[in-house]
Amino acid sequence: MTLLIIPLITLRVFIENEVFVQISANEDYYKTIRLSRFVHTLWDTASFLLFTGMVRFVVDWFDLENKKRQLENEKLVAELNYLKSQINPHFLFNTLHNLNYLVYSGSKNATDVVIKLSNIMRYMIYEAGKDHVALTSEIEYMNDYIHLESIRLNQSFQLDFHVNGPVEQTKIAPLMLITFLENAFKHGVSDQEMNCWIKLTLTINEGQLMYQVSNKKVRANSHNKLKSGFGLGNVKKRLELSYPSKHVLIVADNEEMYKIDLTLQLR
Amino acid sequence: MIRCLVIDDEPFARQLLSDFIKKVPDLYLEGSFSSALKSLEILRRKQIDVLFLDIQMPDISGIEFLKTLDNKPLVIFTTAHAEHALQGFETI
Repeated sequence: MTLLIIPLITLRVFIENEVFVQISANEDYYKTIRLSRFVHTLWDTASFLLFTGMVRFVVDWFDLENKKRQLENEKLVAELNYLKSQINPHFLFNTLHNLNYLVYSGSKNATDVVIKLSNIMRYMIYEAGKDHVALTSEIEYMNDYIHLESIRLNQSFQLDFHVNGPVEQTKIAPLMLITFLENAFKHGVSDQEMNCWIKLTLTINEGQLMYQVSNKKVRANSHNKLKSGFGLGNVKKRLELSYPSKHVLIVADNEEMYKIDLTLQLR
Repeated sequence: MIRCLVIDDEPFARQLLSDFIKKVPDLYLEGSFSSALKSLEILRRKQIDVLFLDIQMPDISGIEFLKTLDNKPLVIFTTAHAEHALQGFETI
């Protein structure tokens, strides 16, 4: 800015001395260089520059702010997509390998698994990328998942799944509910242990979704504390991104059982 | 005769491997387990020549388990996931 002042003042003095002298009556003022004239000129120029500078600054600032926000949004979307993408590959490959066995042994369950897996993949490929999906799709997905697990584990567990309230009109961020179910299977059911159980309750009431999952703790699966946190850390981040300050997640963890209690404020 | 042990948390994978082992005349299946910890006793009691070991398992991973063994048998890692393959070789 100071760099601009000098040529501007020079230009103005030059114009005043050469041009204004010809057309103005106030000849004396322009012919001489006095302190008052110098101060006048400097003040005019500086305030003009300051004003345009400020306008420019404000415009730039808004521009930058906008870009920053856009970048942040893109980052969040990318992060959410990344978190979503981590969820399924292991399950898909394991199911394919199980399918291999079912086909090999000529089991009747093989066709069942193919259909359920195709449902699951349809949901993964076409639905999971969206911001919100119909709650009924997520529930169907969960039912298919339960069906596949019951084939894999030879039905060695008891599962209750209760759904209450107007689920048909409700929309939800995808792959939230299923993650807790997967966790329950991972830590609550083993084909080597008797009397495994999982309880699920899903209630929609006045724009609120309440979801409880509890499971018996299986001894064989309880050694690795580190891995039990993996799926949960992922879903916590996704909750933070999709339902910022609109969710409450309570985890109860004791010797006998594991329970989560999730409340979502739906728009 | 080659004595084999199968460790895999997936019931079907375990079943399939066991079936294959039974079909091969020179192989003898000493047992199959859903978790590495459950196999510790038989590993201590009997001499095992080949271990068919899954990598991704809920309580302790195959790689972690193998590191704890003093008297390592020959190991064949069985995994559905390609990203574990390199890690598997590094352990041996």
